[in-house]
This record gives sequence, structure tokens and C-alpha cells, in this order.
Amino acid sequence: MLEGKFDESTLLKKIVDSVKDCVKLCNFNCTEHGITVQAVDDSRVLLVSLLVGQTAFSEYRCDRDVTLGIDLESFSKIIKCGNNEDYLTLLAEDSPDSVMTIFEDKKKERVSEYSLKLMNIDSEFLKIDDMEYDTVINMPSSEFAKIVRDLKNLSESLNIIVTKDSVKFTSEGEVGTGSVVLKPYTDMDKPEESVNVHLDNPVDLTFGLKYLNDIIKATSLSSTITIKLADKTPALFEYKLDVGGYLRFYLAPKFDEDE
Amino acid sequence: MGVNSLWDILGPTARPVRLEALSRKKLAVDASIWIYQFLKAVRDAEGNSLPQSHIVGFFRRICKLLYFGILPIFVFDGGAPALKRDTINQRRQRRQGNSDSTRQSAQKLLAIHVQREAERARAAAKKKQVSLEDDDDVIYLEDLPISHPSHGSQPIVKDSTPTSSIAQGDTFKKADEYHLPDLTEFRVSKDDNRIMPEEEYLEADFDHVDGIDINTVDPKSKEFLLLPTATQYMILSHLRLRSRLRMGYRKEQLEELFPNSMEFSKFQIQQVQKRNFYTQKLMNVAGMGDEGNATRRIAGDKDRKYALVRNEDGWTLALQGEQSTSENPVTLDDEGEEIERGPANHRKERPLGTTGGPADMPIPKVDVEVIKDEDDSESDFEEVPLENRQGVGSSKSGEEDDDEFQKALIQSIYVQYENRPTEEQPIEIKTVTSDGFDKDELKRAVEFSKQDLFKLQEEEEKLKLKEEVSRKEEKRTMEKGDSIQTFADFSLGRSIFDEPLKIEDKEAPVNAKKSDLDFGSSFLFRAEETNTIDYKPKKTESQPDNAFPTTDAADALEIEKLADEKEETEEEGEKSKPKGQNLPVWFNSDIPQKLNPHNVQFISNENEYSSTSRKYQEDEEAGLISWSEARNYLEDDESQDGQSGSEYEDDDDVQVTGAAVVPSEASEEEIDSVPVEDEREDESRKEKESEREKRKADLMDYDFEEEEEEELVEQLRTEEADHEQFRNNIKKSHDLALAAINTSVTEEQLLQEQMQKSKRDSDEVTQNMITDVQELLKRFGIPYITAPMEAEAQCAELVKIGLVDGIITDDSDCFLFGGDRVYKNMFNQKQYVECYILDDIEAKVALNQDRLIELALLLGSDYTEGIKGIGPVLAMEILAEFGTLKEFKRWFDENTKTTIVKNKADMTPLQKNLLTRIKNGKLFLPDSFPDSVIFSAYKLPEVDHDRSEFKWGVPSLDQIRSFLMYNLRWTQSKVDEVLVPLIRDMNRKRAEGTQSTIGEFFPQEYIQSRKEIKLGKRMKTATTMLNKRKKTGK
Repeated sequence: MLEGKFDESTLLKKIVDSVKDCVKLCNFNCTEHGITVQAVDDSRVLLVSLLVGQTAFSEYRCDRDVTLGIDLESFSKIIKCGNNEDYLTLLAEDSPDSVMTIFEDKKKERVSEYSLKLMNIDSEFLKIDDMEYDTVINMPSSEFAKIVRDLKNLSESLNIIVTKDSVKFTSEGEVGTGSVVLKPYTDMDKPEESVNVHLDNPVDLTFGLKYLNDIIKATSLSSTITIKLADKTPALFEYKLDVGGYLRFYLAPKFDEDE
Repeated sequence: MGVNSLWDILGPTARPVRLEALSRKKLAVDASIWIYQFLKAVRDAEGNSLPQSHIVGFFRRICKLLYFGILPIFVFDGGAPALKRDTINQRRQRRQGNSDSTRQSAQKLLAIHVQREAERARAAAKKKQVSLEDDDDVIYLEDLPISHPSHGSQPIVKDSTPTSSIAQGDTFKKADEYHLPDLTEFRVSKDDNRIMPEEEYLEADFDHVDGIDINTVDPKSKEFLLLPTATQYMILSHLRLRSRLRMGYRKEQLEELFPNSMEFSKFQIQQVQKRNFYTQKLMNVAGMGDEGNATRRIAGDKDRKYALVRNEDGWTLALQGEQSTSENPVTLDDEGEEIERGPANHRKERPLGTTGGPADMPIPKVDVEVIKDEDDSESDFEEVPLENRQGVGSSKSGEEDDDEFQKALIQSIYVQYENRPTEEQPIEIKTVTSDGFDKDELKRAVEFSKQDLFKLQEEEEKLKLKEEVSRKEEKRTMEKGDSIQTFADFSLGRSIFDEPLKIEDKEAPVNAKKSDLDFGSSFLFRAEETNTIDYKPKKTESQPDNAFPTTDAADALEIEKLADEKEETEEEGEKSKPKGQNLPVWFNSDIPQKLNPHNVQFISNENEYSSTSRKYQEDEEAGLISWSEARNYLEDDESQDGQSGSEYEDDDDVQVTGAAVVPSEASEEEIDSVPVEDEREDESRKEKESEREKRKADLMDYDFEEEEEEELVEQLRTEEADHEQFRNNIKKSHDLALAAINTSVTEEQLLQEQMQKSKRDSDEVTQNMITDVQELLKRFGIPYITAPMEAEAQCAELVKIGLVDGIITDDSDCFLFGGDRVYKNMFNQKQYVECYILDDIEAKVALNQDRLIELALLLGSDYTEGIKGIGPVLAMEILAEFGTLKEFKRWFDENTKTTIVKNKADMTPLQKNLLTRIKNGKLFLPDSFPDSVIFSAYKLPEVDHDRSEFKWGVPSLDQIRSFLMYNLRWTQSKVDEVLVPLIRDMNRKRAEGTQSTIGEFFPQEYIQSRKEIKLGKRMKTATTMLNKRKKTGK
């Protein structure tokens, strides 16, 4: 029996919206610690890993592990039915055929219930070990989103070069090239505006902008983004949830064939 | 292919994988059956198989693979293991056996039926005996002489009631639905219009019309014209009907008549010509000849029009320029005449045709007159088709250059000849290739004969003077009898040259004198000779077949005078006409190599008037050989050939001198050698062909079951649609103009292709195809290997040793060899590929490699026939029930070979079920079951264990282009349509880096879904049992 109640439906709405473009179907694995999702996009380049911790819920109960195979497209439609401030409760049986979503208006006595049929989704589970990364960058998520959006117009690939004192984003396309250079910067008043680079080894990696564009859809989840890079390994883009949990994207880099 | 219905079992375990996810995956492609698939299933819109289907198919598939960034390695079959061959043979035999047994049973049924009938007849006969005796003088239809000449004689139809089994009526009882009463005779009423009356029947015989035997009648004779028009019409239309291509022969008869298909073609051409003649004649009789010439202008073409020109006795539809209209009818006229003469005689041959003697058999001279006539016209008849063309050409040139000098004229003719071949060549080549010759071969042959002729010319020049002198003398001294021996050597090798003379002979009884006269004025003799040829048709035209000798002689003399007076140019011009007459002979046989010699001659001979005529003669001789060749082919048909051959001998002595014999013999030899060579080549070609067929048959061993085949066709059709879509997509995604790429394939590259191709062509068909494909792969930069034995086994090995990440195959055998990560339906339209992983299979349907092999033993595969009557579900149940096949066999033996009666209650439902099957003879296990050989064949296949890594190159646009353009006759734009965007895409990927996938970095663990996969109930039970067995370690 799963019962999880969000204080505001907006959190789940944001989460679903930021994932649904790259992953259509995914299994919500509910444990006593919270809800986890791991899914890979169709082209198997981008891996989405979500943890909504128990703390994110105002009430949470999960006696036995429950897997909810959810079609995110439909789920997103259901979630949109509630107002942002509404309480949102997820309800499911132990081996459910459907999941119940209940919206409760905080002021009025209005309760709306939606039931979503679950799907049987075959999925692979990737064991992701904690890895050593060469570089860790913390920066405002909106800043990163802007860089990706801007450079996306020029090419399909984004090159990220991290040296000791700068992070350089470059994209070279047929119509032209563009680059953005960021330097470490600390804003004492607004720490979330700081750019923070921790460098063990310089890094030069290329990513598909198409996938980065999917990643930045999660910008609204957190004001900062943590980018962890290492040579020849998937980069980790992490949005921390203020309420507990995270949304991580693992993006496989592009390789030059010759190397 | 593969294990029967194994895919049905494994189907539910498939994991859908997006094509994109396969990017950068190294996949071994089992290409062994691709070629066969394409051969079988790729058809054009009309359902014909395409000659280069394998290349198209491979090209498409390669494009698809590359587009999705897959790194393919193509694996080809090395050889088929003995086990596989045996199985295939057994299967075929079994199929054969089935049809045999049905035939046998049919025969038995027939035998029974016949026996029953015989008994019945015997019984009936006893009863009938007495009454039958009375009917002795009844005439039965089948007893009547068919060729009874008188019509209207006693009718067969009798009104008296004959006694028969029907008359006895009550005795007849039907044995079955189809049993008819025995008929000893039948009767019809006179008014019954279902039955043809006797007169009609006789007429329908076609041999007689109004009492005239159409075989002997000559539609050209005066007598014929005197017949009533209706009769004429009937005769002609019957003759026309008879000239239908097969003349009512059955195929077998024709094959006997013409062991060589070449001969048959010639015969057919003859028949067509005959038909043409009859048709024209028929038109005449029908009164169509009375109207004037009809012309029709071609819209938009001011100076050209179609003209239906009425000539002396025929119609010619021609496309003409305004200028030449006046000229053309004349030449065409000749042709019409020729045609007419030819068949008329040809038809005459039939009654004349006695037993066909050898060509050089001497024949009493009495026959000569008749045969001569026939033979001339026959040869003329053979000449017809090309003469037309040539005639037009020469007359045109004559018209244009009328007043010019001889040299100029010759040049112009030469130019024309040069031009003409370009027009004519294709036509000839067409006809010739249809006879099994190659364009190349022809060209070679032409070259060959050219050289010969040059040589001969030189020789002749030297001999010329000598000849001039010696000829006069020898002519006179030579007696007919003497020359027979000389000519026995090359009896058939007498020329058309002779034939014009023969005409002279025939027409002028004083031929000996006349020819003397001719030779006396040696120079002019040639001119005159040509003239006679020219005028001859007109003469014969105006007169019935048996020409009046006096007028002819007078004509000839006149012509001679004319020739005397005429300018040399005119003579040349005229000469070109008779030359034209030569060509048709070549047209009939070896042809074009003699077409070109004319050019040669014309250049070199310029002023040498006599030498040209000499050459002409020689040329004719050259021509004759081929014509005699041709006639040889027709020997069976034209039995009088031998006679005509001896006929030559009579004539030849008149004109050919000893000196002339030398060059002509030489030329004969040389030219003779050409057709022989051709024949040889032809033969070897045939051999090759048959060999090919054999091989083909061997290689077609892949047994596609019928459904499977249909499926295949369907699949490939969708694949084609898919490719179309793919092409559109790829085109859309690259809207840069293709024109931006300015490299293109040059002629030279195409020629190189041709060279390579011709090298490869020396091998047999399928090997050829494989090399084709491998060549294509090379140009795409894709590695390929040829497995020592089976490609599937090699693919499995490649996965095992980690050289590749998966296998692309539709062959379920692959699992039995231990193949993992099998991608099926890669080339279907779907975006998802089915991926089969051994672990999945084990987890979901509890099958590992050993169990899969055991399944194969039950179901049948390439290596084993399987057990009859066991389907996939039952096979799974058996495995679940007994665990292993050995156990199953033990149980089987227990129940069949021992008599221990078991308590049925102890048995599981499945065992009961199996037992009933055994009792009904529907299930039987051979003693050798389960065959361990098959186990080891799957477990330890012969494979290459080489661990060296594969390397992928870059597709070479130019090379692929030229390859496809040459082999598929695609246009460059068609190739570029797909190829250029594809390669550009690949280059971009290379430049910007190839996208890696997550799976390359994180180990995967497949989470089995909570819910069971969809399996049939019985299958599910079996799977559960198998799983339990596995867990208990059994």
C-alpha cells in the first residue's frame, strides 16, 4: 500500500514535466525511503535518475515495495488537472493495476480524484556506482539553461572545456561558431548565483545539444545545477530538490571516431 | 532455415530495442541467406525477379545499418556441413516421396477401374455378339480415308439405327458418376449441326480447296490467277494459316526437326516471310490492290510521311522523306518481288522435297532445271530483309551523288556505310544476341573478318592479272564434268554469284555461249552480271515462273550494251545494289562481320574497277558460305538442298577458273572458321549455362517453406516501402542541394567496373553474387568474413569471443550455436528491433543452449529432420515432462518395446496423450534418437577463432556510385539520393563525434517485469515445470 501526500502538487508537476520529454514510460519504484525512477531515453544516451525522498512528502507510507509503470504523457495530463497549491496524494494497492491521484483544494472543500491505468514496462536497471569525477561545476541552473539554449542554435554538439580558471562552452556549426566562457565567481549575497569550479584534471568533452536541451527542462526544480565531468564517462547533471531528493541526468558523451 | 517454429516459442522473450540504441554497436550480420532471400523475394512490379536484386537488397540494408550508426561485420557461409546437406536431401526426398505415392495411388485406382471395365465389357460382349454381326457394312467416321479427294461422296451419317449398348439400354448401369456407356459406334442425325459434314471435314483438312491440293498449287502461276477469286482467296488464306510459325508441329517434333535452336529461329524467320507473302497476295485478291498509294504525313514533321506504297504486287509501309519517295518504291518493289518469288518456290519445295541427300551428292542433270529455279529464288528469298535497307541506302546515295566522280561516290557510300552500321548494328545485335551471341563477340568477329579480307585483297591483287588471262582460256576448256570434282570440295561453298548466273543459265538456254561471250568482254562481264541481277526481278515479275529464255537473253545483251555506254560512276552505283543483295545472307547467319568488309573494299578499290568486281565475287563467295551454313541448318527441312548443291557444280564450271578457286577457297576457309568458332563459343557458353543452372540448383538448397517464402516476400515488400521512407527522410533531413557535390563518375571508372566485372564473371552465378556483394561491402568500408562453415555459428563465435556486440539474423539456428544478443527483424518497418538475449530466454521460457538443441531435435532444424507430429508446444511439454530427451526415449522404449502393462492411472495426462499418439502411429522415435552427432554439431561447430579486431573504413562515394551505376544501371542522381546524405551524415558524426550510449558505461541488469510474459497456457505450465527442474538441479 502506497500513500504519499505532497504539500503542493506543483513539485510533482515540475518533475514529471522535466522528464516526460526524454522518457515516455518509466517505472516508479516506491520504497519506504521514497520514490525512485530510473529510465533511459529511447536512444539510450541519456539516463534519468530521480529520487523523491520521504522528506518531500508531507505524509508518506509504503509498507511494501511497489512498482508503478507510468505513462508520463498521460500522468502529466492528470497532474495538470490540479491547481499548483493543491495537496496531491498518490494512492496505490500493493500490486496495483492503477494509481490514484487525489487533489485537495486547501481552501475549498474540493476533492478531485483521478485514476491512471498502469503499464507493464520492461526496463533495464543500470548499476550506477559513485564515480570519481575530474571536475565538478556548480552554477546557477538558469545560467546553464541559457548557454544551452543559445548554443543549440548553431550546432548539434556542445563542447565543454574546463581548465584551471575557466569553463568554456563552444559549439561549432555550419553557419558559425559560438562560445561562452565562465569564470569562477562567488556571490556572497546570493550563493546560488555563484559559479564554483572544482578541478582535479582538465576536461574536454562533447555532448549532444539535443540531450542537453532535455536536461535543462528541469531548471525549474532547482536554482543551481551541479555538473560532474570526467574524461570518457557520462557527465552527471544534477538538480537537487530543496525538499529532499534529486533529479540526475547521466549523459553519454560524443566521441571522435579516431580516438 | 533454422529450427522449425522456434521463433514461436522464443517470440515472447523478445525485447524491443530502438534502432538508435544500436548506434556504435558492432553487430555481426549473418548474410548467408540474404542473397537467397533477395533472389527469391525481390520482385519488380510485374513480379519478375530482378537480375541484380542482391545488390539492391544489400545496398538498402547496408544503408540502413550505416544510417543508424551500426558497425556491421558481414559473415558469409563457407560451406554447408554434411549434416545439413543430408537433412536437406532427406527433406526433399520426403516431399518427392509424397508426390510419388500420390501418383502411385492414382495409377492403382486407374488399374482397378480398367479391370472393372474390362470385365464389364466381356459380359456385355457375350450378349451383343449376335446383333453386332449384322452391322458389318456400317462405315465409321474414323475408318474413312481422310484424304479422300472426292467430296460429296457417300455420307457417313446413317439414319439406320445401329445396335449398340445404348440400344440395349437396360443392360447398362453406371458404376459411378463419370462412367459412360461403352460406344462401339455412334450415330448422328444429318441435321445435327454439332457434327461437321463430310465435305467440310475434308475441306477443313486444309490440304484441299475445291479439289485443288494447296501444296502443289503455285499462287504465282497463271493458272492460279484463272481460278475463281473465292477459291484463290481460300487457298491463300489456308496457305497463310499453314505458314504459322509452328506449322502445327508439336514441340517435340520441332525439337527433332531442329536440334539446334538457331535453325529453328531461321526457320521461323522463313515462315514469317512466307506469311508476309501470303498476306500481300491475300490483300491483292481481296481487292485492296486496286486503291492508290496512301500516304500520311507525320504531324510536325514537314518533310516526312508514312507512305503505304503499292508496288507491283505488294504493299510497303514506309516512313519516307519527301525527296526519296520517288526513289524508294523502286527498291522496295524489288524486295516485294523477291519476297514473292521466294516463298512461292519455297512452298514448292514441299512436294518436290524427296529424300534429302548429302550436299555434294551428284545428281542427274535431268532434275537440274527445276531445282535450279527453286534454289535461285530461295537464295534470293533469303536475301530479302537486308537488301531492303541496303537498297534504300545505295539508291539514296546514287541520287545524291549522281553527277560526282567515282571516287566521291565511293567515299559517300563509304560514309553511308559508316553511318549505317551505327543504325543497323543495334538491330543486328538484337537479333543476334537473341540467338545467344554477345555484342562483344560480334565485334571481335567483325574485326577478325576485316583482317581476313585485307589479306585476301592483297593476295588477289597479285593474282588478278594472271586470272584475267587464264580465265578466258580455262573457261572454254573446262568441261562441266571436270569441275564437279573440284567443286565437291567446297560444294556448298558456291556463291550467290553463281546464282545470278544460274538465273542467266536458266533464262537463256544458250548459257554456255552467253557466258563465253561474257567472259570475252571480261571487264564488262561484271557490270553486266550486276545488271542482270538488277533487272532479273522485273523480268520474272512480268513473266510466270518459267522465264522465257529469249527475252532474257535479249535483255542481258541489252544490258551489256548499256553497261558499255554507261559511265563508270553509274556502274558503281548499280553495283552497290547487288552488293546490297548479299547482305541478307549474312543477316541470316553470322552477319555483321560481313557487313563491314564492304567498307574496306570500297575504300581500297576506288579505281580498280575489275578488282572491285573481283572482290564482289569473292565477297559473294564469302557470303555464300554463311548462307550455306544457314542452309545446313535448315537441311532437315529442305530436303532438296543436296540436289541444289550438286546443281552448283553444274553451273560453277562455266565461270570459275582455276585461279579464282584459290582465293575463294582461302576466303572460304577463313570465313568458315568464323561460324565454327562461334559455334564453339556457343557450345561452351551453353555448357557454362547448364553448369550454372546446376550450381544454381545446388545452391538453392535453402528450403524455404511456402509460408516462410510468402512471409519473406511480404517482409521485403515492406522493407522496400521502408527504404522509400528512409530515402525521403534522409532527403528531407539534408536539404542541401545534391548538386553541390561536383564529383561525378567518369566514363573511365565505368569501364574499369566493366573490366572487373568481366573478370568476376568467369566464376559461377552465386559465387558471383557473393563477390558482387563483397565488392560492395569493400567500397562501403565494411569488414566481412567468410565462415569456415556456417555463418550463424561463426556469428555466435564472434559474440563469444567478444568481437561483436550482437548478431543480426533471422535464423533461429543461431541460438543453438550459443549465439547471444540476436537482433531479429532488423529490416522491418518498425522502429523497434527484436532483441533476444540468452539470459532472457532462460529466464522466461527456461531454455538454455542444451534445451534449445533438444527442442531442435524434436522440431527439426537444418541438421535434423525432427520428429514428425511434434509441434512447439508439445515439444516444450515433453521437455518439461521428461527433463531430457534421453529420458523421453527411455520412456518411449519402455512403452513400445516392452510389454509391461502399466497402470494408466500412474500416468500423467501428457504421457497418456503421447501413448495414444504412439499407438496411432503418429509418433515414432528412431533408434538413434537423440542423436549426439547433432548435439556436437551445434556445440562444437567449425568456426574461426581468430580474435583480431575488425576495422571499419569510410564509404567511398565514387566507388559505390560507379559500382551501382554499372551494376544496377542506376543514374547517378538515384545513387546520390540516398548515398550522399548518408555519407554526409556519417561524416558529420565523425566530425562532431559519435554519440556514445549510456549502456557502454554502466553495467546493465535486466529487471524482469513483475508480470508474466504472455504465454499460452500449456506453454506456461511447461515453462514453470522446466524452471522447477532447473532449480531442483535436475
